[in-house]
Amino acid sequence: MKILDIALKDLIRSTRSLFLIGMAFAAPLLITALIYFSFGSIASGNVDMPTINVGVVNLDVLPANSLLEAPLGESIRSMFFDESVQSWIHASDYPDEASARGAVNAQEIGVAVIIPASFTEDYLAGNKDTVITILQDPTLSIGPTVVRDMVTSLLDGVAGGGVAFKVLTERSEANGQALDPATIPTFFETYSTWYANFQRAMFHSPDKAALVVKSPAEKGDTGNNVQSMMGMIMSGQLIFFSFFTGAYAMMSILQESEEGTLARLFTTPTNRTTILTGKFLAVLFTVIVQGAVLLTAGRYLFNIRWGETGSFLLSFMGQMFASVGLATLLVSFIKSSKQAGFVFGGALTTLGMISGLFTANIQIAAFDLMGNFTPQGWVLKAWKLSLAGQPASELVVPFLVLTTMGIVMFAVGAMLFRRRFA
Amino acid sequence: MRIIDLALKDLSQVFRDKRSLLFLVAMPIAFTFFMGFAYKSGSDNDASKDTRIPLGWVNNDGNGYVSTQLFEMLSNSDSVRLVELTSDTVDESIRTGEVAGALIVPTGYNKQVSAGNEAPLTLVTDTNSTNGQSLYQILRTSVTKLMSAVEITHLSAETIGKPNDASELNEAFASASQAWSQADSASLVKVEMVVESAPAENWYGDNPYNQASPGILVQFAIMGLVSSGQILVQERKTRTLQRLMSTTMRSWEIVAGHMLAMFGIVFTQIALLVVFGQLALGVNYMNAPLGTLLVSVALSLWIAAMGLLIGTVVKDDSQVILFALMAMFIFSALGGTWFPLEVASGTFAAIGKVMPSAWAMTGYQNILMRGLGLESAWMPTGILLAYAFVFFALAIWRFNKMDV
Amino acid sequence: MSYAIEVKNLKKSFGNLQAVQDASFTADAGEVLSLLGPNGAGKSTTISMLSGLLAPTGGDASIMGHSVVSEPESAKKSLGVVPQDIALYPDLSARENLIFWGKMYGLRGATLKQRVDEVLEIIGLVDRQKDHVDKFSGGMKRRVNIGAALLHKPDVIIMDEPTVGIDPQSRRHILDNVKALNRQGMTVLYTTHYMEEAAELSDHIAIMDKGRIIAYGTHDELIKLVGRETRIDITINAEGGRVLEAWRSTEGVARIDALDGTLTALVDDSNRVLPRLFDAASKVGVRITSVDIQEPNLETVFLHLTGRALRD
Repeated sequence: MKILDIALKDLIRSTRSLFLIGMAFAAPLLITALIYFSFGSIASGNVDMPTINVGVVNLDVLPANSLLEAPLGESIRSMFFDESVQSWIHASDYPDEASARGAVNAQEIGVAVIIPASFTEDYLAGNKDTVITILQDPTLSIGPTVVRDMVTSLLDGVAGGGVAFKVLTERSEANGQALDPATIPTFFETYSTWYANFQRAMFHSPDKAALVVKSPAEKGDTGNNVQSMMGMIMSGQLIFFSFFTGAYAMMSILQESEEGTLARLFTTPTNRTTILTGKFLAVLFTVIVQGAVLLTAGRYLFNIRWGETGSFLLSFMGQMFASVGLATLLVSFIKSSKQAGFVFGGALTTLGMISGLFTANIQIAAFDLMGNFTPQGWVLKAWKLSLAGQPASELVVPFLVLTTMGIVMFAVGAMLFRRRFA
Repeated sequence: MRIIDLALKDLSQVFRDKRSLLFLVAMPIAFTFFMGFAYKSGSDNDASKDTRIPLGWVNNDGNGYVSTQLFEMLSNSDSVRLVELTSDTVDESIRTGEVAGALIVPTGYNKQVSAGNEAPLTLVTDTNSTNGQSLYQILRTSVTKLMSAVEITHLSAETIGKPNDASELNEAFASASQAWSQADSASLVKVEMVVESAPAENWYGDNPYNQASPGILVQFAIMGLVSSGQILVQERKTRTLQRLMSTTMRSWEIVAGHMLAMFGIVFTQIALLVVFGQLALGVNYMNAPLGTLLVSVALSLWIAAMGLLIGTVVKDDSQVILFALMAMFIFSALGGTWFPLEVASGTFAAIGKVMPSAWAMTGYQNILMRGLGLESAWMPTGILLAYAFVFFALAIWRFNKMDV
Repeated sequence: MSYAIEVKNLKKSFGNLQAVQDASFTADAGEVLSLLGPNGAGKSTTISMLSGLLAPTGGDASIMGHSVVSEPESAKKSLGVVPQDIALYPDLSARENLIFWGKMYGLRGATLKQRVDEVLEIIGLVDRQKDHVDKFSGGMKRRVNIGAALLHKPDVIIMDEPTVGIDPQSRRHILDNVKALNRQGMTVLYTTHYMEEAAELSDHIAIMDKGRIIAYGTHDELIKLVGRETRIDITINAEGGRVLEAWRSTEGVARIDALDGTLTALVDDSNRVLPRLFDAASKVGVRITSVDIQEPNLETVFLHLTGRALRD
């Protein structure tokens, strides 16, 4: 009974700590929300990309006697100035390569497309030494890739015309027919129309595209990309702050020691095991409440499907055991609540980072490897499995590892505590 | 003079605690390694290793000539390695990581395509992963060429007047495929990083630590506020602040003294990390030593002013941790120290770009990645100083309103 | 009949430091026993052993017949401890604090509620019971600090220097409280380094110095230790050394020591001895500038036993 009284008292005090409430609930939700708004819109397919600033240096001129109406460089240039891309590409002209370089350096533009003077001529002549240069800001990667893809696909379109002409010529010859020049424009026009439609369908109407992308089926519900990514991100936050909350709640024992109430508790007819157990229960309960709130918030605010009931419970319980165990171990090393900031901030952030908690949505081999040695790493592993819709049977191993880690850390921590307060 | 005395007192309080050093210096160094390691492992180019992306091939349509051609195209690719699968093993193979994705050729594909009908191929992959994105990219090009060959075949056969002649269609398709295999538009486009001093091959300028080092530096300089912010709280708790106020020191002098101490701590930390980055990781801060110094000083001033503000807002030690960690998370995430801002959404990137932390990153990256000189540091320095001023003014305002 | 508090040859050492050496004393049920001694005498260590915070290195002590070594739980049930520092939860209200501590002493339900109300009445904080303790003044905190030890109506209450660093008014309130509790039959062990408090409250006084009990008895018994000796504090216009030898050999002087520039003499009859002291001073050319005569008190006793003042 006294155990519960002590636990209850600790919990009441927790609710009066702005800090604990902030760290346990506000921070993880805020950060997840922040990330949700930063990536969520991309993943959901809305075009809310940052604007790509493109500079175009078009030196290309139409060679004499060309069949083309305009140099290829002009087609490339106009692609970036086209109305359809104005919402996400902001293009501007530059007179020469030097000025474009200057603009990239000044970060006025992120990418510059340099089309050399003889590009059309050399292209038509089959001279592959004349190339289009894309200058990019070294800190960028997406923008330049998009621009390169656009240029390449335009060139593919042109190349397609070449291929078409070549095939037509060859087949006419092979069939002993003379190619009627009058059919050529229609031939090209038909091909160009087809190509334009094909490209449009590929990029803009997935239902008509020749290649469609599908996420691998998950067992149970098939979540969309945003949900699965948010699941990963939020589980990272959930784990980090669950460990933080556990450690902070466990610190109440140091606080009591400093306030003199621990000594006073020892003068009451309450044995020390009861006192430690009471405090332990309070920590456990805090971690459970926090987890429950965050998991519920994740489900309803960010639409995260945490997994099958069994898998979900195993992940949650594993997280609980591990965080309470690590909390006990950490706090047993700390001498005063003043040190706590350093130790918690340092140890938990380090462990969190090397376990990949802050990069949960990206696969980084080094972190996956190091995660095998940290409780956080195993909790993350468990949540990833649960999020992927794996059945409970797949989570038995991580759960057992976490339980063992939790028990060992708790035992060592409790031993150190007993030694200190005996 | 008294300002300096006060600052020295603060500094001795912080540095007396060995853990502060661990926190301020050892941890960021460890992190820089980890992050650098992480970026590097993502771009490993071991020649002896097969770096082709494993792609599952599920053919539900027998050996039609279109799908056969696609199979050949992909088999000869340098970018993907085909693994033949059946429909029911796709999800499992992706989950276990045996393949990064799978391409499914639907039943009746060759027939539909030959007849000029729509018959989409399906790529099953996780588009959130880098491999998934790459696969989509590669397959888009291949499918475009394939479908173009099919279209050209039909157009050619029609023009010649043999639209339904199977052997003509076969010949034309072979010819088109052959022509396509020789056309390589990608080789006509060359990408070059705009770097002033030395050309670099990777986006992070050859050295993976070029992103990790300044990123972690900015992040931990903010996190260091946990220690410096606590001084102010301690001073209020122990009533020494009250005592200070009763001396002839004016309130701005007290604030300035603490600010100087925080600046000293943050700047020392940054300086150590810069030296470490330069000497141990080969991050070329010395490309523009004065520029690095300017950005570092301005960054330290801004962070010190923020520390001061936190110190005047919070009530106790634990709140310092809360605020410092929140500041770290928010400014790090929004300021692009964890990931480049361009991967974020427009709104986020737009907010991020005005963050002081983002300007600090820009200042360092101008020197490290763009290879620019001193003049590139003026703008970031100026903006950071403006932020420092705003935070400092807020801190003074709070300080004057504070109950001591 | 056993004692309410019985301390037998209690020892505690921390490494080489012998904090408490063979301390023995007793207190009958219903009496106030003061443990008097200067700072660092070992009072708090003794009390920590009695209240179960420290395990004795040797010897034993019992509360209401229960050994603190072999049956600590039973001993603690009869005991209420008021720590020297405020030991309360600052972010809980006075009432919440009392409820929690009552539960720790095993109180429940209606009894608990009734006791909390009674204690709030005793400590005079009924009006402020819902306020958080950190909003209280120093004196109010001290009152709650005492109240938390009274909830289970202990037979014995231990108070460790409860009046350190508080204003005279709160001090008065606390001393009156102690007397009131004692009148209700509680045995009180009171530690202090203020001899006036010990004199006012105690039935018995144990004087402690350097870890030992150097005297034990009622106030009067202790005074008798110095006999009829009167304390005389003398200041002179010269170095003490010149006159000290002469005065030591003067008839009627039991002892004389130089303390802080003042010469303190214990004499059997000040009327007879004083003229001799003036004579002796004149002979060595020393002039007496002030004389202060004090009738025997606990301060004199401590001086008599140790040669030092109680408040060094």
